[in-house]
Amino acid sequence: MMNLAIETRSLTKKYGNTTVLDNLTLGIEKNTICGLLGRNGAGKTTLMSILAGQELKTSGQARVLGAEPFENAQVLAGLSFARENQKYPEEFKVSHVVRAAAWFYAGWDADLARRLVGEFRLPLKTPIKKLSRGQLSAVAIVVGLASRAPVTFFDEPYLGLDATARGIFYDLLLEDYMEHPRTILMSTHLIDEAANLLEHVVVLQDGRKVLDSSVEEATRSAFTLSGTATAVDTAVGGRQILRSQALGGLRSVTIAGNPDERLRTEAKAAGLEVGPVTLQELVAAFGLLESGESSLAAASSPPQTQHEAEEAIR
Amino acid sequence: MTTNQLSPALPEDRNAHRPAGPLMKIVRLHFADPMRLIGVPMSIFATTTAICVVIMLLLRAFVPMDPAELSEGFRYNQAPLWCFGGYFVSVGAMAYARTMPFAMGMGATRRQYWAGTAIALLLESVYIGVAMTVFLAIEKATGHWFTGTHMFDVYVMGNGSYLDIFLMGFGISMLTLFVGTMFASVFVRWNQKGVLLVVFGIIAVFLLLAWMLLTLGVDVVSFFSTDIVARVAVVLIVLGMLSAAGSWLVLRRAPVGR
Repeated sequence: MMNLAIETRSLTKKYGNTTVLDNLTLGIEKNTICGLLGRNGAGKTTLMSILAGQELKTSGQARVLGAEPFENAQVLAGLSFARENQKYPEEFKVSHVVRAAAWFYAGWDADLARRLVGEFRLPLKTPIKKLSRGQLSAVAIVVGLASRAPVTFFDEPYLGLDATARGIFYDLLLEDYMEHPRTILMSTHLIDEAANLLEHVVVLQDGRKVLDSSVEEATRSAFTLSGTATAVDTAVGGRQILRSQALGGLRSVTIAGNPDERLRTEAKAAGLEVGPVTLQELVAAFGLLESGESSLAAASSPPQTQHEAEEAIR
Repeated sequence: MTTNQLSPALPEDRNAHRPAGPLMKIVRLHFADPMRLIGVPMSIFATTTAICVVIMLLLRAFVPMDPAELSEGFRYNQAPLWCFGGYFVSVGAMAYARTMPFAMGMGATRRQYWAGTAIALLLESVYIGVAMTVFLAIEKATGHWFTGTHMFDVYVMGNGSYLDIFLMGFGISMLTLFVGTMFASVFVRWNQKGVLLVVFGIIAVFLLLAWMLLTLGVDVVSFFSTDIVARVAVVLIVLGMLSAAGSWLVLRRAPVGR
């Protein structure tokens, strides 16, 4: 499809006997901010590395801006990818990074770079190797945003940033994105914080895709029910429980699907609360299903594939 | 601190909005920090020369020898041969271990990076060749640093020949820089095991080559009997070229940035 900025088909990556990406098929439309979510080791960075032409795939297809990215000068010229543990040239200072990045991008905005350096209070004359974790993240954010690359990857860009700096990042990202729409793929564990930015979400689990939908669709696909444990268990009936949390005699469950009128009436009568599910809760539900942390969910099969996952939340 | 307070510190670059060409961006990246490839080699030469002068002064003060004889003895000084090689191997290695992931994160291809880096390192080799030639001229003009100290006007660098010292400076730089890039590219692709295998492989190839030359009765000694410095320099340049080619073969399908 011409409107896709990123597309993979049966993409697989193996390191020896370990499968890091397993038959992954997904598509991300142009000019969207997409969240790439999943637990550590789910394959998020590997996916971005392959899309950025840094890592070789084992099999399948990966296309960025309509073509295979590996050694494709035209495609890569429109990409920006700063790893969570990005390496920089030895002895480089922040000023060197900012100056050099300008040589790589047609759309580089020096004014925005200056503004970002100021907002994040980056010391220009400090060698990169002496920066704190948060300052390193800020350097990656400066390059990623000021590059205005048509496809920008952020790999956990908030690491080490305090709440204020994270807020600045989210605000500036959204502000610049509104003025200069582009495709942004961001891996993150801070889902609640980033939820308002994201239009699309892809959730990976052990190299497989378990969710790939718009955020709106995803959060509409489940709801929460909370109250006394007995009343909750009665009201749930045969519905698919994605996640269950208990505290004393109280229980809160995340249920796949939408609450029908009968459930709402029963819930009201039993003093239960029916609420919307947040993206964080939904993603946590997938994570917990996999690890078996949810006692109720353990009774049902965890969604292993995109199809099963979508079925589960329908 | 506000944006306005920090903004003026960022260098104003009128060309900042214009991206460099596909190879030029890599070349410029290598020279972005002028200390690494310009300043440090000069300080190595200056420091080594200063140390040699101090040694000469100490010898003249404490050794009962004619200063002219001491000065002639200094023609056997090998400092210029060894003083910067180790640093250049590390510069070559870092070009692939640290600078390459940065360049590729900003959309460079492996091919662009390799070619741009090769150009940058060749320019650096020319720079060192010219610098050593200039140092030789200064040394001769100052009566060997006013003390009879031979640092560049030495047998191993052509005994005062400007062409020889340029070729040796260029050859040593090229070999050490590209050997560094080759080992770094092997490390990037196959980690320590790969580096060890390549080291043993190179030793095996040299032993095989030596055995073949001896078996075939090739007179290596007579090859180097005339213009020895220039011919050694040519051998260094050829080995540097082989290292550059080797690094490309290794790198073209190497994962980057892990």
